[in-house]
Amino acid sequence: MAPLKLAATAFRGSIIFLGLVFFALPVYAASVFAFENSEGQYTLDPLRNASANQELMQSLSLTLQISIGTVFLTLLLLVPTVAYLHLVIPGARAWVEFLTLTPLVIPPIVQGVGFLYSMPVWLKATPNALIFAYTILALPFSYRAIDAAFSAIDAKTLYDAARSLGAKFSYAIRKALIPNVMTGILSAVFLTIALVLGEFAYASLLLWDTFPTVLAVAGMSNASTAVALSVVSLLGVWLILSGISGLGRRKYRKIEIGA
Amino acid sequence: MKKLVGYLGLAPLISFMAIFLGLPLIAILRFSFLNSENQFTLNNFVTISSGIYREAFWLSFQLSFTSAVISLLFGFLFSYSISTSQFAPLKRAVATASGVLANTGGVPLAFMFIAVLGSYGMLTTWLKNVGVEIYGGSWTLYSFSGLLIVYLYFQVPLMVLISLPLFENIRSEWRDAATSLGASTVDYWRKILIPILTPQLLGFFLLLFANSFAAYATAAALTSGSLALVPVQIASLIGSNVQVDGVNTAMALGLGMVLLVGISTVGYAILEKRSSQWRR
Repeated sequence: MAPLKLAATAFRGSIIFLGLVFFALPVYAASVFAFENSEGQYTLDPLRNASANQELMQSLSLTLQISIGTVFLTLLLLVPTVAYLHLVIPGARAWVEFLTLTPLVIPPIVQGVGFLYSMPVWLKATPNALIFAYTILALPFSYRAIDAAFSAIDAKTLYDAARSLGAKFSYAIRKALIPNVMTGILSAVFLTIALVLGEFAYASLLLWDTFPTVLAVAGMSNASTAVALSVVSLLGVWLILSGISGLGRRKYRKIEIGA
Repeated sequence: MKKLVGYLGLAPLISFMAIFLGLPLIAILRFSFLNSENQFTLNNFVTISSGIYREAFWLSFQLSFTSAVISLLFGFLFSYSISTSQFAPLKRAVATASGVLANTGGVPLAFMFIAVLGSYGMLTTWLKNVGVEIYGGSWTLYSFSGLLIVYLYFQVPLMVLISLPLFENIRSEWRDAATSLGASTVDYWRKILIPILTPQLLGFFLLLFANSFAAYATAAALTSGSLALVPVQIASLIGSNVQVDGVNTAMALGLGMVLLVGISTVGYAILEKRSSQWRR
């Protein structure tokens, strides 16, 4: 039995090793490729080149503008709707959740083509059209994040308690509900930003120069700048996602202290 | 009546979805049954079931199927090994890394792989130094197998991400019960674990397949359209607009994608729901 067990452990060990190499190698190789010059010295030149590239910086600011718009629209649409669902018609939650998952079934490139041929020209004439498209694309993730937060706190009881203690409707929402679902709201915000920062299909179909589409073109002419920006955006996604899990932990700690 | 009034609160969300998801979907449906003069025709479906479009579906299918099988197997082994290891920080680190990598995809991923396996990539150079010239023959990163390797870089993390919870739900009582009834490790896997896990793994396969089939950015940025997957063909039909009924053909291709991705995703949801009875 012992040799068999040893073989199993060795097998598991080599799988873990292989997996870690597979995960780490591209990140390592890309960092070296981007931030090492021909003499083997560490350099930030590719990022300096990028910040001097006006087209690239404009695309970045456009993408940031679109992501802010998308976040606002998402929250405006979802926070009242989810609160309403939990407080007034909890029976409808299951099928609304199902409905919000439908964007996953339609590939972004197909949504983009349909959008291009169904939206009025005045809307497509501004890059803000992407805000509406990205709100839809983010919906499966943003809705679930906010819905999960409302489910975790038993929103209805909390709201009823606030009202029975004399709080007015808006006060109960602002002071009792919103602070308790803040982590869910922030997760939705982060997930939405991560999606907008990387979205390519819609932007390239609608011919807007967002960060990903400009990056794709820049890669053809200047590889080290493109690789450097890719590493930076990977880092960005990592920061955003660890922000989300950090939120989860902070909330957990707060409950522990309170209890 | 009162119930109906209650549903009015959903009007903003529902109308938003009807406009920005419903109308595009209706456009896809409508245009794929029309020619460029807006007359009804089934011709677009004849067009997409032959020649380069049929090849595009076959190529997308091969890429998605292969990447789904490999990532299913390797991701399963990897998450199994990780979750049985005694080292908890490793598990947390892998879970976080998988989350990041599964979400990266797109354009950055393509460029990162140019740094690994491009003609001046790190791995290319290492292999050259030990005498393996991967660019000696006809292989390039921009070929089918090259793109497959890049796809694995978001497919395997996705599989790890969705399968890690699987092993937390395997209760040690199952193994104890089996062992006390005289089952060996092989019996335990063959008679208990595999029957329990099979529907769920099948669901994961469908999700991975759909994820790969729907992906566009990586292929577009890496191969600049030389590898004619279905999404690449759609984008080039819309972008060039030189072909007769080009837009309508693109819409029909899109409808085909929706069917394939839709069936896979719904299949995943059904299997996931069925196997959730084991997770309590």
